[in-house]
Parts: sequence; C-alpha cells; structure tokens
Amino acid sequence: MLNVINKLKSKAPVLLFWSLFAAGLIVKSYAPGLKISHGAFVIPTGLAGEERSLRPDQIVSHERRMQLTSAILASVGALGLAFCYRAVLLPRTVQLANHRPSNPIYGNPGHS
Amino acid sequence: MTSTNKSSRAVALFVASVVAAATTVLVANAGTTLTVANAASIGYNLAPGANSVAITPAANVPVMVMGTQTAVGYRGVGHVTLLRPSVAPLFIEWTGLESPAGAAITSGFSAVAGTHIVYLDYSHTVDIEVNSATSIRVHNGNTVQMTGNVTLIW
Repeated sequence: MLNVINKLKSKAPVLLFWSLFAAGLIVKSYAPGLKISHGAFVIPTGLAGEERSLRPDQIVSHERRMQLTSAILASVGALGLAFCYRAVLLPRTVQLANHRPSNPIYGNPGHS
Repeated sequence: MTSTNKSSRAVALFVASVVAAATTVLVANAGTTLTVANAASIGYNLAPGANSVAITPAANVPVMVMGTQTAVGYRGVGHVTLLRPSVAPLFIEWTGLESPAGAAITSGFSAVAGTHIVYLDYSHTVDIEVNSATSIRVHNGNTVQMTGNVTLIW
C-alpha cells in the first residue's frame, strides 16, 4: 500500500503537468474560434443563439479570455513536462550536471 | 545504449516535439487574438424584406459601425458612430454618413424598432436600423437578395 502511495507521490507532478497541458487543449477546443480577417474578428451569425442577438464585444472578450487561458495552461504544462522528463530529453546535460563538482573552482570539499 | 533505450528515447522526443508544437500554436493564437483591435465583422445575406440578427454594440463607448453592400448593381458603403447607454433611458444614438448616391449626414436617437440609421447600398433600400433600445439590425427593403457585411469598432 505504501509502495503504491509512494509511486503515486513520485508521479504526481507528471500527472499534474499532463493535466494542465490537456486542460489547455480542452479550453482551446471550447473557445469560439473566431477567424481574423482584415484586422477584425469575423463573427459567424450562428453564434447568435436562441434570442437571435449578437454581442460582438462579449464574444471577442470571451474568445480572448479562452485563448489566453489555454496558452497559459498549455505553456505551464509543457514546461513542467520538459522539466519532469529532462533526464530523457537531455540525458548528457543531466549526467554532466550530476557529476559536476559543487564548487567549480575548488571542487567538492571532500576531494583534496 | 540498448535498442530499447534508444526507441523509448525516440518516442519521448516525438511526444515532446508534439507537445512543443501544440503549445507554440496555442501561444501564437493567443498572441494574435490579443493584438487584434476591438473590431468585429458580421456578414449578412438577406432575403427581400428580411432582417439580420440583432447586434448589440458595446455600451457607453463610441462604436464605429460601417457597412458595405456587395450585391452587384446595388453596391454602396455607409458608416455611423453610435452610442448605446447602459442606464435608462435606453436608446441608440448615432451620427454618420449615408451611402451614395446622395450621401448625406445621418444622425438621431431612437429606441423604436425600425428607425432608420444609415443606408448601406446605392439605391437606399438596405439599411442599418434600430432593433430595440439596445440593439441594431440590418434590414433588406429591396425586392432581391442582398449581401454584404457590417464592421463594428469599439
């Protein structure tokens, strides 16, 4: 049981960052997805809803909010994943960092 | 390095590149969305006598509304700057320039549906009009289908 809990604890950051990345993609998929043409958002009349009314300012600010949220979530997730998997992605760099003396000039205190 | 290690690293690099590409796309999209001005373009394609969906402009800020009629034989362009107050009494107030032919200043305020605001076509049959005290609409008063678009800047 303890073994399982320890395993989960060690994998928690990875799961968290994958979740954040996935959340970014999900938020993006729920954004209105407005096209931009000639420096203006193109609003399809299909967004009018049942009351057949468009609120361009609200639609645009909703789009911006969702795009920004999606970008932040995905970026944090991706950076976190890169950090978690650094040993796989950059094996030599990690090995060098692990073998580097703690003091670059005098080396480790224990070494003479 | 064993072949298993090599293949698992290749998979990891592939997944990493997919994640990086997706993140780059999302960040680029967000950047584009944030840098575009507060402008929205809405197309219309109206049967004779039909009205477009209601368009509610941003409240308490000047909103530039410009429209073009693109149906051949009736092409034109007009614009107004309008105000929609957020507190009572509610109405739409505007000032601007009608489409040719015979472009002239148009101005006024109204909360009554159907009140003319600005013509968008050459023959002055397609116009933006008051839809309610808080919204506007495009009306096709011609006997043929009319197409065009309206852009709002706020």
